[in-house]
Amino acid sequence: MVSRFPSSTATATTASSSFFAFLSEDVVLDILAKLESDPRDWARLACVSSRFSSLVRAVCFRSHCSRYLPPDLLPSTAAGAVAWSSLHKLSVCCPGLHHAGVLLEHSDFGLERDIGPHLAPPGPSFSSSSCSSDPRNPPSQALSDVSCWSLFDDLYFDTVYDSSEAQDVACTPIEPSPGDNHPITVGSIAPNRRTKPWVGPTSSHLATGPWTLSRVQGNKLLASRYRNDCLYICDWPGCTHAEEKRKYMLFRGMFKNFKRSRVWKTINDLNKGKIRLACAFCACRETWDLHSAFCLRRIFGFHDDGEPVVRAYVCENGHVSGAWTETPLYD
Amino acid sequence: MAKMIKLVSGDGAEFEVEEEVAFQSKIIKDIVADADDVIPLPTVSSKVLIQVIEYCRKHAAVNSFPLSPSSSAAAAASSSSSISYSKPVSDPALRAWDNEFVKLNNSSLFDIVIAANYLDIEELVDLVLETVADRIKGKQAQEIRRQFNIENDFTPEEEEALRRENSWAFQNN
Repeated sequence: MVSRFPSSTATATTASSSFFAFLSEDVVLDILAKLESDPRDWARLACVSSRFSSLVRAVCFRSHCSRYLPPDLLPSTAAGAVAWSSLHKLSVCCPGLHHAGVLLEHSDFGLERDIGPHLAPPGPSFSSSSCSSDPRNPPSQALSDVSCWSLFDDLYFDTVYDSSEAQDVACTPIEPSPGDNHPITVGSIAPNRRTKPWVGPTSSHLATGPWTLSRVQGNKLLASRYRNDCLYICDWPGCTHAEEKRKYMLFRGMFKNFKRSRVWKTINDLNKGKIRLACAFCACRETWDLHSAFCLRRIFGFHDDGEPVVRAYVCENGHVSGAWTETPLYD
Repeated sequence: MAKMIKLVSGDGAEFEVEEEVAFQSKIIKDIVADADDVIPLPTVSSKVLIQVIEYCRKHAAVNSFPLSPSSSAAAAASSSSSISYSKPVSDPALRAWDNEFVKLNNSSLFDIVIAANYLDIEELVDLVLETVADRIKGKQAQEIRRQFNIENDFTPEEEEALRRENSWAFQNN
């Protein structure tokens, strides 16, 4: 025990200048161990100095993950501090309504995200060649004229509601918003956001639910053809957010070996656009919507207002954020 | 008549304490076993030694033989009563006393934990570490730096990356 401490000739003056400087790592870790009950303390300490950052991530986060997470998800011993940090966050941090996709607009049943943004139909002088590089019609001008047409526009207008056939209130063709000049891309599409007020925190925060993840929960979420994929989800009910209209049970989880999973193959093959919804657990700025990729059990439907009963988003690293809106049929 | 042990601080002050008080320190217990009743402690100042002795005196009274009135309640509450004295972890009066004892600034706490380690007084070491942990709980990074005089040695980019990674933890309930 004597070796853990510095020479006892360290003076009070020295200590007042920097309390921790003269304490060995064993002792500092003993202090850190006493902060285990609230994960926020470790996370804040990681922001204090590089010494604390490396101790917290390499030792504290690692010991927590080894205790609470299934061995399947633990990285190799050679894993860097960032890997443990991400995993620890997955264990204790609720993604919040934002990263769980609850704030996305769903009344269009996700059509916009599937086939492209809203665009006005082309004018009579349209020529498809104007989209390509044409010295008489430079790309920037073509874009501002909104004169590029693609397959997506055909699909959209084939499916748009025709008001003349309706007995109820007619749906009018959607006009593009002013200044909406960007071309169709099957890449990142900025999702619309609801503007109604929310009761609780919408960003990531300490989860109120359990810190463990289990495959049983993951199996309840995925469609049966993905039964061989290993998805670990936090134990039910996750972090509960009672909002004005509906209660949301936010969950988080992770695929083991995501790039070798069938879900990954599906979303890759479909070439479905990512959405610009950042992952809550790593630096990925985009995620895939598992619901519209038909990876979730089909029995989960929609509420009357178009909101899906369950939604889930996965990033390239296999981190999953999502929300249930009612007790699942299986429990 | 209780046997007395003489402790001599680094600045030459002498303190006579009862054997059971001094024996809170495992080191002193071992030294005295070699029939040496005068123990020089050159690296411990008298100021700190006074505080350590005060702690040992208080805990010796509670840690004494289970039949003594002050510890009988602790013995009843304690789960491990098979040893000759019980650990009074659940004695609320003692805990209250300990909490008062550690109401010291960081530099005094540092001196005490160094001395307690030197003298191998495990409970006192643990008490100080617990106190330090309490001073970290619930605090933001900047407050912790201020409290313990820790230098922020991150680059602005590193600090921003850490802030983004850990901003979920910045709220208190």
